[in-house]
Amino acid sequence: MLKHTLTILLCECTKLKRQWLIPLLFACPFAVISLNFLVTFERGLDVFAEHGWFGYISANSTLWLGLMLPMLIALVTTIIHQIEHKDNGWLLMSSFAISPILLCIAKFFIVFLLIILSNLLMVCFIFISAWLLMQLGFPKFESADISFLQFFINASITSLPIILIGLIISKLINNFAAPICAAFIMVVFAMNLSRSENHWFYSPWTYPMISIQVADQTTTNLAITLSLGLSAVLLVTVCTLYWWRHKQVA
Amino acid sequence: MEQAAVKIVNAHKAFSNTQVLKALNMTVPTGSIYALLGNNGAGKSTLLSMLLGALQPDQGDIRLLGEPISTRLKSRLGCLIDAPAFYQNLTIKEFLSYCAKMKGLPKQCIDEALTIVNLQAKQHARLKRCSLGMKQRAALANAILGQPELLILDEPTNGLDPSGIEEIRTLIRTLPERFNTTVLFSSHVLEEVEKVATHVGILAQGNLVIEGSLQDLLDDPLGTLEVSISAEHTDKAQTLLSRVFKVSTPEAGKITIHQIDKSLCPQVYKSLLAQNIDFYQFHYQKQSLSKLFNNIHLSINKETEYA
Repeated sequence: MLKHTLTILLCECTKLKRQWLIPLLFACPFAVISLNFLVTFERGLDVFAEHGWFGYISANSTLWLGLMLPMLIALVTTIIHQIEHKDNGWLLMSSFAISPILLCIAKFFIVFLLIILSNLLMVCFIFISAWLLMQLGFPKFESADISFLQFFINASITSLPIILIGLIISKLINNFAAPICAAFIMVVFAMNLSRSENHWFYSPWTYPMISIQVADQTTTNLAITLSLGLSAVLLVTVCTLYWWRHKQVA
Repeated sequence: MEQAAVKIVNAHKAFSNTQVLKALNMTVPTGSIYALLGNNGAGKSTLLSMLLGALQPDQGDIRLLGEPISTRLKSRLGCLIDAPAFYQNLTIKEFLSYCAKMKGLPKQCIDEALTIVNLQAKQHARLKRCSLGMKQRAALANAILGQPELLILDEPTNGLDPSGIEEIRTLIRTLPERFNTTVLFSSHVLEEVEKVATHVGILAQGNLVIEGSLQDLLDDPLGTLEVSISAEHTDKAQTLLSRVFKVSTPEAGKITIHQIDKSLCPQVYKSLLAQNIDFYQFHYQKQSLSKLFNNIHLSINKETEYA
């Protein structure tokens, strides 16, 4: 069973060859870092001194987790499903002796691994940009206030419900624009909602931002717990969808 | 008795309010090359999708290789879908390698399939840049990967050039002996069916109106007799012949007698001579698949009009 799932996972990875999805994984965190790097450098040391490295990392995290990561997830899930929507891919898949549930799990894992990779790249880019700033005369980098491991783990876990929602929407809608538009609306909505202490948990798009709030550990834990609980429900939903749509593919 | 490769009993399928398949019964003998014929909208693609398990019948029983359709059974099938399914960013070899892995087959079978469909030289070409003919061959290579027991092909020669069509026809003809495979294919090209198939099923309005061995269907002793008669004798000839036979209205001096036994032709010849009717062409044509197909559709259309 595990070997079979791994085979399907590797086969699904084959489909990503020469897709513009891999360059995107690099481009998105790089865009966030480049923007913040340039802004920080342009403002100079005086403005930087107000919040220090904590401010620099917070600015990067907010832009990454609040805007770029949810949009990247929407893009990745849409591309993953568009590969099948185009040219009768679902019909081809239905001709193989594989369970639709395993196929669903394989697709979910691929997206999750890609998002983990992009989060990892983001952390790496933060280090690289900090090193570059130091070379340009900025103070010595200190990350005592933020645990990068926690940032990486929390951001990845809280991405889970967004990934699953993205998979559901892009599976149902054979269209590039609709899932991206839906994600954009939800991101804008989440940006406002994340400021409210009592209402942030209504939107899963706020969870990544909330999960890295070092000052409030209870809220962080709640965001992670909610993410895991919601993901379990959504995973069942997406598997059911795969199983049901598999029967109605033609 | 050997079990049928495909056995469909009383299959019904409807989409919204449209009944696509109505009480369909079908038997594809093991080792045969079975051609499924039908006009657009007859239900061919729906039927093939049901055989692949992509659609569920509303009612009825479908058995492939003696088993109900299941995920496990699909490893014994090969299929080519009407618009071939591909991942355009992959090369032909990568695509076949992906399909082989999904089917749990060893790598060696990829080269074998490439050789059979004559695509070895183009195996590293990206599918995005392949012609329709090459894509069709690649799809066929996927279908025959691992020598499946049952091949389901939807219009397999679609998009191929004349030499490609001939190659694929030869390949299909040799498959039952070569791989011990049963082939079920759909086609619009009646000439192709006559050259390749051993068995035929004609699908019309969701029903299989005729089914059987191609030889049996074409060995029907009743054929068509066409007589070209001089203009002044046309009416006389029509009156004479219509007393005994089903005669069409003369067109450009040509009278056609439908469903006439070949043995009666000399009698017609003699009668025309005896009545001093001048004729300059006397041509008997045995049953052909295109005539059979057209007759079936004509009678269905008449029934529909009458209803």
